[in-house]
Amino acid sequence: MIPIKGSLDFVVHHDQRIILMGWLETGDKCNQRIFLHGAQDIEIMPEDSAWYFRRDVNTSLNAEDEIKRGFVFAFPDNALKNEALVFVVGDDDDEKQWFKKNIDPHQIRKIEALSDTEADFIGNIFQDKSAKRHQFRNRIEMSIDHFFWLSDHCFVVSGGIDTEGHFGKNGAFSVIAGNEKISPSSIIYGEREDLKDDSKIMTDTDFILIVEVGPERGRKDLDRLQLQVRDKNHVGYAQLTLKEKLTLKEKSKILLSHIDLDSGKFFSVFDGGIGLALSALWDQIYASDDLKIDIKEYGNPPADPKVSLIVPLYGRIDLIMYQMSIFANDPDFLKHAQLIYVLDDPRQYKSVWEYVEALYPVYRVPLKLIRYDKNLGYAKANNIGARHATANILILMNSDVMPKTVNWVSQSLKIFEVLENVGAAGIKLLYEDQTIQHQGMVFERLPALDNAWVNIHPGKNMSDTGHNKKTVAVPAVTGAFLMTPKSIYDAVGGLDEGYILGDFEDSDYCLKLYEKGYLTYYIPRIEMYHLERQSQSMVDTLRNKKKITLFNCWKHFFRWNDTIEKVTKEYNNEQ
Amino acid sequence: MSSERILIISLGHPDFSKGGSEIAAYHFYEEMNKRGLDTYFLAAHNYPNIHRKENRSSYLSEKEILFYTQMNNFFLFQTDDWYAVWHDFKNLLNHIKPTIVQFHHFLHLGIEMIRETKNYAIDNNVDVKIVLTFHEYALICANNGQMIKTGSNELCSRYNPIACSVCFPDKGPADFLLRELFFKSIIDVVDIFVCPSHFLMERYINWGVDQQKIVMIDNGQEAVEKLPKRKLVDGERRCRFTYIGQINPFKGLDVLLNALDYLDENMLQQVQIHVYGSGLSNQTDPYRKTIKKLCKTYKKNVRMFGRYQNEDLPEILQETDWVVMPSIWWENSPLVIQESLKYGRPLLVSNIGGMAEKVTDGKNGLHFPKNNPAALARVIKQAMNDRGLYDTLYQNIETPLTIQESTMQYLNLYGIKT
Repeated sequence: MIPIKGSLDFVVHHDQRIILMGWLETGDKCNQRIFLHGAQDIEIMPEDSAWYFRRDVNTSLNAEDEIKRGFVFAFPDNALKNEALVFVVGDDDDEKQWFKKNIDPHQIRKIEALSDTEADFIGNIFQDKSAKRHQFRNRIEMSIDHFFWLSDHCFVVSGGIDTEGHFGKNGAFSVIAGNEKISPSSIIYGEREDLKDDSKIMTDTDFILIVEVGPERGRKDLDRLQLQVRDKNHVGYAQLTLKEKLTLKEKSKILLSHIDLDSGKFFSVFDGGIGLALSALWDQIYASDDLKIDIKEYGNPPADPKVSLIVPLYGRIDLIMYQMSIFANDPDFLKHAQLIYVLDDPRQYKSVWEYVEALYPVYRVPLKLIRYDKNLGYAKANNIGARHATANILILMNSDVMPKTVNWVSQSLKIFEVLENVGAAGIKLLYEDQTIQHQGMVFERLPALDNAWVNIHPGKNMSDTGHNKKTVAVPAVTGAFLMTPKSIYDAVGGLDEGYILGDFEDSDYCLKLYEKGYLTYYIPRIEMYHLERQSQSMVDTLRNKKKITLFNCWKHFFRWNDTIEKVTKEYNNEQ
Repeated sequence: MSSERILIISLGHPDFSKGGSEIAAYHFYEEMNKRGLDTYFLAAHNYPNIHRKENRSSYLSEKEILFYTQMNNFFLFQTDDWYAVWHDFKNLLNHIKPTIVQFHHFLHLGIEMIRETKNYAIDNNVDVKIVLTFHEYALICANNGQMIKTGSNELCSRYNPIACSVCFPDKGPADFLLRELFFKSIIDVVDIFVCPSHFLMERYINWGVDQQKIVMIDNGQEAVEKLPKRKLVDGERRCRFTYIGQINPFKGLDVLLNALDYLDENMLQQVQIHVYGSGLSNQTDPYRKTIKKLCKTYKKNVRMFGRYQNEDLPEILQETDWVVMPSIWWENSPLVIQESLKYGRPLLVSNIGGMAEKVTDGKNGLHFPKNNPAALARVIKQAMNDRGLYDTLYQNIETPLTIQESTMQYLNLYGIKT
């Protein structure tokens, strides 16, 4: 083994670069790494390099070959302060054979400070055809808005590139971690909604990157990173430093901010990686491994209830009062129903308990109050409620659903129990003005949404002309009021917990049942009010809520496309 | 003697608050006690200085209880500290052990008291008759139970959650439907509803109260002798018009004063308007200014007497020919009408709601289209010019239902034979 020979002739600081010139004889070593080692243990890789033939080197080495031993390396200077550097060339095998050269900060010179002789020397080198061909890339400005880890092996970078009109959307991003270069798994360009109206930054191209480092690689030693973007003629750098402590929901908001609601291209954005990233985030938000569940029981519920009502609570807990006040007048309800409230709203962990404590003595509807100090979403709240239900029939009910009459428990059971192959059933739900809120759901393709299947409530907000009281099979029913046998619910794992907040779980559930051979019915004889959206106060902005709906729709669409086609065809044939 | 124990519940005690429903409720209490019935009177109050922390009740006499509450939710008629209120109320029921609970209101008390009464009956396995008397459209309309539109003060004739949220833009239709469902679920435990006017009763039936469970019993008045007609000096006409009652935009004093604009000089030489009642200082600036300006313009015709005491009423009415009630809201069974009729004074009233029901046009008074000063001016002219008319109307006035009669109707309802 022969150590690497070489010489470092000049170190020049010019145009945000540290340019090194000299020559190297590396022999048979073809896997050398070339880097500058900074004082803070940073390894910087060259952004540009050129090799050229040097006769003087050949002469001194007594070599007669044509090998290009002369080099020009350009290193970005943005990670460096005025500090001692070491120029290192070597391979992984044996550090003893590496070429190392200390660079004192004083040695680094400005081009204009070079002596005539030195300038001549450089001039000579650059006269060489091969060297002359080489042009450094233009620097472009890149700024980082957010940098955060999604998981232990995946992080997100968002920011903007000041393109000045020259830089397209074809740049290659790479994250430089020491001597490694990692390419992002997704690159999404776009205009961020929140910056759209700011004309000053109109020249910016916004981007969001999702970078997968792999589970084995992990997060270790990846706290000092540099992002590079380059195309043929440009290169830009930015340091990635973890400075903000973001909550998971804030991270979700950042991801959502890159979905432009006006662009109509949501699905490609979800496909491009944001969808999976959101899924991963919300899995963490909804993580419930260490969940502490508190259960309080009030009154003496029926020992052998025929139905278990599961009512998740989020936002308006005062709706409990209205429901209890109505249930209290229905002896049939008190005789046959087990009432389970599930608080899915950590902000009201204490107040909901105080509220029920105060309400119960007056309204006296026996109930089970399940609380936990997290927000786990609609599906999980129902699934937790179902675990504590003892009746054979579950009724998933929203807190803003109000019965119109008494005896509805027995009446709906009487109908439900004789339905053929029943998996789930819904009822007629009405708005405040007696118009239809729900009479079963169907699926329709929405051209504005990449032709995706969406859930439609036929006749919604129209006056109730349906005098047909016959129970019929429908493609799906709303989760605002959904009856289902507990055995089936348990067998299919309840509602899918992969949707965010609460959307599409109901149709997802009905489709799941369909796959297993069960039918979903609509029972028009039972009527209740559904004061839609009173039960959930908006998470943040309406637009963000809409984006979350789109995400859920995307997820639902890709999972169920084929099944929906089948269900819809069957349903239409029967109509 | 009946073994029933009656608890009459009022939103206030007439010693401190002289509203029609407080006075009516107290009359019943007095009359029932007079008849040897074991009757209690419970009135809400909000004077923090007289309420002891550990108990909400203070006693004015052995059977007159003041009950401390602070109502903060006028939309749902709930008190601030609902749990404590129900709890203390329950203790009070356990202490009094009533067999009949007569609610004359739920305002200031908290509407859940009605359900708590039912709970008391269930807990003690006793029959308790729960009777609720409506005194205005409180359950139907969130605008002070007046069934007039906010802003425009137009009359409203039916409850509708969509229309209601137009009146209250900070609330949605769902809020009103919830309010309705909540109230209906609470009053589900009431055995009988009473309305002091047919008009009010119709409104509650339209709103959804079971027709079989609601009856009309008017509030009774003390039995007194009709006052003689006011003595006229030579050539004088029946030109004394008196307004009695609170001064606020719904009561329409401005309508009456504006009517003067439509009277000619000859009429204005004689017409006198006496105003008894307070409340002007609590009104909005524009309304105060309107009234003050009209008083100034017609300073020869209008005299403001301010607050009056009930015992002064005979004197006031002795100097009166006509009582005018120009309300622009429906009213129910206004005390002013009953008192005027009791003392033998014909009325000029707006032709709507409880006023039109209690005063028959051409029999014991005259009607005019509500909120119409020109029409009122025509009626005033008629009242002054048609000399025979006054005598006829005066003659026709029948003694209104007495407290005794009204009480008998209630006792009948309670199933108490006397």
